[in-house]
Amino acid sequence: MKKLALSLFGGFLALTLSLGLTVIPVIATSHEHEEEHHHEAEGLVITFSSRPRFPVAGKEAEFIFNVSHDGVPEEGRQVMVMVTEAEEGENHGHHHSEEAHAEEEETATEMLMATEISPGVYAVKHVFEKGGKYAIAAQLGEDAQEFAVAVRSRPVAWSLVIGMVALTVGVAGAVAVRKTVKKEW
Amino acid sequence: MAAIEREGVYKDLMEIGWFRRLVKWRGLQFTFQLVGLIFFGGVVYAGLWGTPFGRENLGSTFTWLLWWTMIPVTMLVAARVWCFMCPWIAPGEWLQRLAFWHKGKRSFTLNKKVPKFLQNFWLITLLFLILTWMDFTYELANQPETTVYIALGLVLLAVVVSLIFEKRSFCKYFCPVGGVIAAYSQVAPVELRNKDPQVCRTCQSRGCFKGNDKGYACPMMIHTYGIDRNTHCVLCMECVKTCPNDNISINLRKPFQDIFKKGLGFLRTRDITFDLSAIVVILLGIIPFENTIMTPAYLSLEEKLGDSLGIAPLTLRTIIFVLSALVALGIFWGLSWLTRRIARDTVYGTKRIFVWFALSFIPLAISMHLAHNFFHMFVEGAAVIPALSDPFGFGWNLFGTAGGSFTVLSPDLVPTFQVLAVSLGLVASVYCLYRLAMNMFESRRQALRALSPMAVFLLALGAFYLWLLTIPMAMRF
Repeated sequence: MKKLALSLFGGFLALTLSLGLTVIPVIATSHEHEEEHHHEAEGLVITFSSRPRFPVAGKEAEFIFNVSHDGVPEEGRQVMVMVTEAEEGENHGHHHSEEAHAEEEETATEMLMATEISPGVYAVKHVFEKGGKYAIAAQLGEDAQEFAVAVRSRPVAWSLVIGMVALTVGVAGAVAVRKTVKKEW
Repeated sequence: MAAIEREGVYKDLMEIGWFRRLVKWRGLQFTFQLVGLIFFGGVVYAGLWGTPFGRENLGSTFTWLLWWTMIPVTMLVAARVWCFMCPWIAPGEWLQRLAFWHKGKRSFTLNKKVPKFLQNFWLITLLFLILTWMDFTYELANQPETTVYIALGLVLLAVVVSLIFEKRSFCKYFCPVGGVIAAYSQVAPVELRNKDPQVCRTCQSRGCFKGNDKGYACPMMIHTYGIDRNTHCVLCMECVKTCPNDNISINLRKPFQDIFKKGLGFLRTRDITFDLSAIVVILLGIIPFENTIMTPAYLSLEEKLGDSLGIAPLTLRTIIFVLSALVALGIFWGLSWLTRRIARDTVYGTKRIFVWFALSFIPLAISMHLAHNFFHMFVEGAAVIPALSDPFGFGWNLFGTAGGSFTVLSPDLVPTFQVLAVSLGLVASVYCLYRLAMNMFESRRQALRALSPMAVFLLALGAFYLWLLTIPMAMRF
């Protein structure tokens, strides 16, 4: 009885772990392409999202701004987008010299014009040259709202991860074959 | 069974009923490993899907500011207790045993022995040096993805090793932190030993080494009936379960006992070998190096030197890193030779003096390591607080601390703790050196002569490191 209870408990824990490990990436994938932020000012609401959530340097990213006023989509507005590097790239080193700091302060701002893709929804595409933290400011007339985006220097090396897992599975398969062959012989 | 009274032992924890029942429970290790694996899963997830910014990513902050810095603390307190719950080996071990916690009858491994030339700490030391090199070269604390590639690579390596080789061969011969853990665990005030060696001598079944229906054979391949130091014991408690005579004790003892105590293994080089002592000496070289490269003065010098020599700063740093390890080994070998000459030793020889005296430097090495980590723990470690609130950088604010700036301990106070730690380590090392020399040499006069060059080096190294601590370190984040 005690053994059965322990087995059930262990099985439950193992199941929870496997479910957790399966479900978390699924949830993550469903959110992966969207990074949403809201900003509200005097009835004007701007929702910002970035696709992918963390853009990769050298690859195109899309920023989407949902603009509404008191719940009504704001159509036909001119949305100017300013992209400014807020922080140095994540692999640029951690030991800063004073000169490097001075250089960082002189960051360039890129101006882009968003196009309306559906009523109240404005989009703009942009390619970041390098990884780092960027401020994305949306300017609507006199209102300007800022959002932060973290840009990866390089994409996640899925081939490396998959390769490592495949190699391990391959070794496990070879062991299984070896043990089976040994048994049958 | 009453334990034989042993020098330096305060209490056998196995005499406490609830503790005995707990460690005999087969689910204990599984539970801890599972918790560790869930955290590990979180680190992997955060690294691959979370923000690329190290200081905002719980995977990076947790790995490099908590786990990496706390590991020496766990060894100082409870020997290799980390290995007991380590998630790296868990999937490999479960697969190998085809069981999570119960004692299975089948196994899924080729059960090969690790080749003889790998049955030592050299590969482990090399892997540790590579990991340390990667840490300062690729700034792993700032690289959540790279952190995951390494961590995942190690788990998968552990699985592969477990599939091919017997038991926990990965922990014993492949784990990059295994060597440091083995060395540091000597100072712990906890030990697993047999209660009465005579009982073990007459035991026919040897359940601890061979395993039985109550549990597995010692995964670290230790002959528990002869265990007399913490080097390899991962406190998995299998021997507690398998011993038919209840002859295993888990003792609270005086610290540093393994370094100098007279016992079964005293001056026997089977358990304490040159490779283990070499790890200690290498640590004496690379810990000050790690401190030095974080000082603004070094960074500026490195840039200038690199320019004038036409060498990339990173190459220069790698050369100095390798040299710091080699020079430490060279100096210690020279000191051992000098010790032999001064003490007019005809019994041990230079190598054995190296091997044994290096152990007395463990308290200093561990205190230097801790002092170095205090900065990461208390100053940079505050990054864990906002990261907990938004672990993946998705813009969450679970505990209302996201994006905040926190101070665990004022950076001005850190040097006080560092100096305190190194001073304590220095005193402990001098004490160990003295006790060791007194145990090794017949006359007090010869012992004092033998320890004099080592003591001078110990004090000089301690003073140098204390001076290094007075130079401010540059932040990684």
